[in-house]
Amino acid sequence: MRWAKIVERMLLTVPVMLGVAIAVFLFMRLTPAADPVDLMMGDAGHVSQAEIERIRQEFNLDKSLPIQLKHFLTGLARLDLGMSITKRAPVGQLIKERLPATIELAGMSFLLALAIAVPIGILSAVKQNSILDRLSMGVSFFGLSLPGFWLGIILIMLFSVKFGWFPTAGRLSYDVHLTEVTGFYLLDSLLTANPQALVSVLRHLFLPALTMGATMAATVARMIRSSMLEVLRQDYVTLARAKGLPEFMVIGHHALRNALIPTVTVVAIQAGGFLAGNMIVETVFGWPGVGRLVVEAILRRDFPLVQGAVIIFAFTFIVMNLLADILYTLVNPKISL
Amino acid sequence: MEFRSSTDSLVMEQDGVYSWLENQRYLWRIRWGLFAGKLRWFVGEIIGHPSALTGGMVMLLYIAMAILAPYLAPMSPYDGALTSRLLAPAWISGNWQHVLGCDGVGRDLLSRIIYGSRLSLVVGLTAVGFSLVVGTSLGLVAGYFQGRLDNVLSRFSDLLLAFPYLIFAIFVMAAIGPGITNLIVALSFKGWVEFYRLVRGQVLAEKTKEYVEAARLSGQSDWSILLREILPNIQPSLIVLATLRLAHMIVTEASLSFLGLGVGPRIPAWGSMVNAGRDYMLSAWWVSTFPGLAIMSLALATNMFGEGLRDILDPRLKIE
Repeated sequence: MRWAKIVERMLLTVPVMLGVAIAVFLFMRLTPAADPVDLMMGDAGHVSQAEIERIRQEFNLDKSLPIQLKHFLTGLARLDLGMSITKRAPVGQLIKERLPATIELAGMSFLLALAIAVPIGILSAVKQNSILDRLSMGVSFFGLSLPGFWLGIILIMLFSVKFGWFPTAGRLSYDVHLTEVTGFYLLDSLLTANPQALVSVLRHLFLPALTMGATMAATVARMIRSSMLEVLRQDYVTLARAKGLPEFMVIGHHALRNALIPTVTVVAIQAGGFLAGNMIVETVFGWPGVGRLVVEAILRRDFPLVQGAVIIFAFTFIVMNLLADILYTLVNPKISL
Repeated sequence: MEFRSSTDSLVMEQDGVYSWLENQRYLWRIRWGLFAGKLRWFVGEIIGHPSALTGGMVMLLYIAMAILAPYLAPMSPYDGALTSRLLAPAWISGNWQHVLGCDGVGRDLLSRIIYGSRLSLVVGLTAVGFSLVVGTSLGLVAGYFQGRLDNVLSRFSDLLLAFPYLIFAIFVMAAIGPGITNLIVALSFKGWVEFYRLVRGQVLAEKTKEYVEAARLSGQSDWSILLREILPNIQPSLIVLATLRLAHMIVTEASLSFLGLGVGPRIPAWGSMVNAGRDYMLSAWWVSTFPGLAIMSLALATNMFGEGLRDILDPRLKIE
């Protein structure tokens, strides 16, 4: 029964994805500033009418809108997102090359955020209204209003420029050699048993991951605190204490497990936002991921690339939301989708 | 709402005694009394809530700064002198003409920050206002009448929710180009959805309640029920949501400006000022730091005020 619901929920995402693709396509086509021929010919000076016709034909622009849409959707079904104008390469290929860097950063930010948020959330709830609680909730409220790009710059100025503890940009120092196997540098340095590269990769990851994780840590810490407070008031917690269980067992085993349920959804949705390429953080830290690719594409008006990336981002976001819902039903049998 | 019906009947009873004008004066005096009473209560609550009070005061300060910018700014925000290029803040350089120092083309940072508050507030407030009006109207209609319109709007809002907010705004800005109006369009394009969903959900819940039933039985029209009965009841949560969204939109506008997708380079915008300072991270930390502080303090103040409003107006929302 539960699985049938889950399958139903999965099927429901298909029309949303289709809608997203059509919406993005129409938006691009109906925007006069995004005419591909104009964009490609921008710097070329005088171009003959025949040449323009040839390009219009090549991009199917001479066909009617429904036929263009059909071409676009069949392409999408074959995972063909079109050609980038500035890079002269398939959009799918370009995104695929940059994806490991983005996933690595997102994963690291995710872990860092949880590592900060979970202990703080639990401690604040257990020691409610203590100095620690007030302080950490104050700081987390601060974190919610912090613009990511500014935090990144401040961290660079402080820890890279002033103290020199971390590098300012990139994924790897130039003087360190790493053989690429998977494109995930952490994994690659482990696979090739290269400790020097591992250290360099971790040092490059730390500041961007911290910047990205800060907002999530703030949100999650506040959520865990409030759901822990709720759970700690329940009868079964009192019973567990009355049984004479040690406090760490009461909190760790009985309270925390239930308190984490509402947090799961928030965490999964935030992670979706992470994976959808954090353009801001990647730009600040010169991180060669998908986000920076898109920002460059926007500034160079490379619309096929922007269009492809936005669709990929939205799809990732939809899938992560789906996972959040499924995860939520799995950890919480009371809820049905 | 109860006062409206009581005064109406009062007017009816004494129809022959009072002239129309006196009636109106009497009515408005009662309305004003009720409003003043509410206002007094609200101000009292705000004063008793330290973080809401602080947040509100800082917000007012920024609003005053935006309005009075030409009188407050010590220098022109547009013109710089190359001799004062990257001048350090006064306590370092000793030059008290430029208190917060100067940027890469010698423009006074303090003046640019003061003028920058105009863009942040104008874009933020307009985008929130627009989202509020559109989202609330559509939510009221969709929740009350349901039917096909509700279906279409709800599917459309699902579609918009499939995009992360910032990515959607970036996408729209990339397509329609820079400019203040375009910024507002990009932020409101998806911004109305939150209001729509909140209002629709609340209308669905409210319309089953007795007071709506009573209003219907007394012969009020659907529109009158929506605007005079339901809307006032969901108003507190709308005010809270609008304030919290304002903070979000201010940060999003700054993010867009930071990426070079805001307004042109001449108009002072906090986000693009932070971006300009990236080139001087090694030598002139102040160029990025101060505009960033401005963004953060305004967003923080707005969030504090919003959370305070939530505690005061809508304690139900506190349970997340």
